[in-house]
Amino acid sequence: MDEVSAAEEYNYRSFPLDLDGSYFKGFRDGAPRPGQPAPDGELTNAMSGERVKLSDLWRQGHLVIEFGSIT
Amino acid sequence: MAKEFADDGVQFIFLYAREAHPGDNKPHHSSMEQKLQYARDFVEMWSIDRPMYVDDLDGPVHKAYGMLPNMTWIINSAGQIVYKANWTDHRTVKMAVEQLIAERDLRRAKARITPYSIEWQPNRENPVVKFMGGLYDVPGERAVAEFIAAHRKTNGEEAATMIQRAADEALKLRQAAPAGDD
Repeated sequence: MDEVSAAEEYNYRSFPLDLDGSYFKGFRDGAPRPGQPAPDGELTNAMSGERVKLSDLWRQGHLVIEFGSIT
Repeated sequence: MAKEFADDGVQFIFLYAREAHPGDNKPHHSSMEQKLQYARDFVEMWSIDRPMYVDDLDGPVHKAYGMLPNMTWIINSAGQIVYKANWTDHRTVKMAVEQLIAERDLRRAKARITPYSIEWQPNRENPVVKFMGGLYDVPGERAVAEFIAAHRKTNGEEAATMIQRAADEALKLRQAAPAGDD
């Protein structure tokens, strides 16, 4: 899947009709379990625009990450 | 909570993901600039004082962490997952952070420690009238209709009727007090 269609699928326009098949009832397959290494990734600070790696953050101390959105 | 535990070296961040209930007044993300702007809007709407981050437009970090809309994860300073919850509940997050601090004290006291695991299913409050009111106020009517349709398809007519009643009640409250105070 190319980058554009991956983003379009991820950022759906309408709330999924079938909640069972759309990751609203449980973690997506492959999500780590407690005790396993945390996936690393790059983030952008929404206020400053600065790019950081998750691993740079957790190396500074335990990290609590809340995920969410406006709607 | 972020302030309460700052002296203990625990960092709290917010990762703004994708719009779970896009609607005509709050459409899905179609560019990185828009995603960043929505994240800044979120900071303002909810007076977030934690650092606010986003991942890339196709959500690679959100996907790697299970892609649910309202999760909390805790990672220790060794990069190991210690807590994951499929819903953010400040009460259990606080318990988990206090546990981490207690473990640090055990390490400092040179105690022998060994990991164990818990599976647990707590309950949370689900203020559905308030939630449906929020859908009317922010993304708008289409998001309300889509949420009810999803419940009808996935959980059946009874579930859909319950959600529909909550939506009706939220709408009635809004007509009585347009400020939208539940």
